[in-house]
Amino acid sequence: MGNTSYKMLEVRNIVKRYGSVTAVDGVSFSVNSGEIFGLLGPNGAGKTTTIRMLTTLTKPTAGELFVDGYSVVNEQVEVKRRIGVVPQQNNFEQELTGRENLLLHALLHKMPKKIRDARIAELLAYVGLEDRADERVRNYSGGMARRLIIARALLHGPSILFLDEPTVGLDPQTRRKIWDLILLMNRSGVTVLLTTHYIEEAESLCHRVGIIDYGKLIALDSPKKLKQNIGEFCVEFLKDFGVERHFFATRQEAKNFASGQDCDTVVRRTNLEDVFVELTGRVSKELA
Amino acid sequence: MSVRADYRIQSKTALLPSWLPIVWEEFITWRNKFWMYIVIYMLSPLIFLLSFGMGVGQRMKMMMPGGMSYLEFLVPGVVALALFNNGMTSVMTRMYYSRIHYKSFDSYRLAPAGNLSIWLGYTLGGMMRGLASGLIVIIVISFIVPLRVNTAFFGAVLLTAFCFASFAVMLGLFIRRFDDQALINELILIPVTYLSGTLIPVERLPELLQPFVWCFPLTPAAQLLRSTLAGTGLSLKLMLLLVGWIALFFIVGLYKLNKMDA
Repeated sequence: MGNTSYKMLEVRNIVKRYGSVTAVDGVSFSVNSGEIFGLLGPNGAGKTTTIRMLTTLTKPTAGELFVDGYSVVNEQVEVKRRIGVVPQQNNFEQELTGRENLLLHALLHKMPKKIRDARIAELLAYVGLEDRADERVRNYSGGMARRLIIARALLHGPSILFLDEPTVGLDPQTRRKIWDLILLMNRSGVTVLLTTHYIEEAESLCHRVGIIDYGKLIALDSPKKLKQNIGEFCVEFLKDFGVERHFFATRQEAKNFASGQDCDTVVRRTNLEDVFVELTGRVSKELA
Repeated sequence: MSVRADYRIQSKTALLPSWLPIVWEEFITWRNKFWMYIVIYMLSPLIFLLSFGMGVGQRMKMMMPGGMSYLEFLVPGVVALALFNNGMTSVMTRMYYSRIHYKSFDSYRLAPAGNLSIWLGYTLGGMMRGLASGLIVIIVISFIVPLRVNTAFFGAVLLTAFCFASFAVMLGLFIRRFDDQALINELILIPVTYLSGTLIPVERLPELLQPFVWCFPLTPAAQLLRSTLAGTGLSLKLMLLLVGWIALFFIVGLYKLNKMDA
């Protein structure tokens, strides 16, 4: 991430209510250009609603959102030109081939004919689907469809890419291929906002992470700083009423504490799940 | 490879209407299942022709207004039904699956195009399906019954197909569950199919029912096709009725699109 970064995305106190249910409750954050920003939280925390508001699909009940300086509510066409979206579900036209789905996207974005075919071929090679491009997408595996949808999101040259649970349901090997793609895209200058409930994903990819729960943003910082805030080392042991965890700034402090316990203990590095549990006071099954 | 690129440059492509890709997608899907659709389009009109026209219709001459044969009465009704049933069903099914099941509708909403373009794209796509089925039925019928097709008739076919497609888009935007589609079939499509002067003259329906069937868009459509095929030209009153329906379907459809997920 360069030093000359500016705010590619700005979210100011957004609220989304569905009747009496508040799905997103006063969330504010910003994402710098060139950054990979993660929204971490369990299912139902408000991540997808937030991403739908950021990508113009859902209108916020209150608050302001800006992409590259354009209002998401009032300047939708300008915003849509600048964003690429990888939704949670692979939302292709099932009867079309991979190449036809990309062509449809290119047509929707009015890409000039003389460059769209070359661009489609380039991106198909980029995601490793050039050999399967002329098959109907309904025959694609989950990993192939995910790679194609990333290619589609990049086709029109977006400034910022939104990925909603990009690796959910994928096997570990395919998941890592998708991570590589995200890192490569980011290295090319694309700002990335992703939602995930996989701890490892957030820790591996994100420069900063926002933890969202019950529609509220409860923490926001780099993974390293979030862990430092509660202590970088964790002592874990089983007691009568479940697992107890204690956090310490140094490994030595943690070891000293562990040696004073009269049961088996584990000393390990703190992870984002520990941060989440500490901040919310509950263990999320989704994050386990 | 650079994944960043700025294609927001002026070109002829920028002048293409935003609804065109939606129609293009519809065309590709239709082309991929061309033979299946041909059979579907021909099946129910042929059943209507054989069962009503050739079967019971031979005994129904006394019921026909103006002394026409039942077959002469039936043919424009069958064309109207082909435009109605195929246009409606294909658009509603497509919208249900693309909105609720495959979520591909969101990919159109994410494109830098307004809701008007989305409405028009889906409506023209449905119109294309309706026209395809209508033309196939006209060709098939012309082998059985001599037809006096004329420009006014084709004008009426175009207007009718657009009207039904806009009706289907409006209904398609309201469908949230598979049950809704079944409900629309039972409450709207079946009564409209049988009571709109397509198979039986409106004048031969129970008197109490006659004013109500004019609340169905298929009634003026069937009448318009019938009058143009008979060579009496385009009736302004019937055309205005259809344009009125289109305006209503457009307003409600666009309202629903604008309110989507608000």
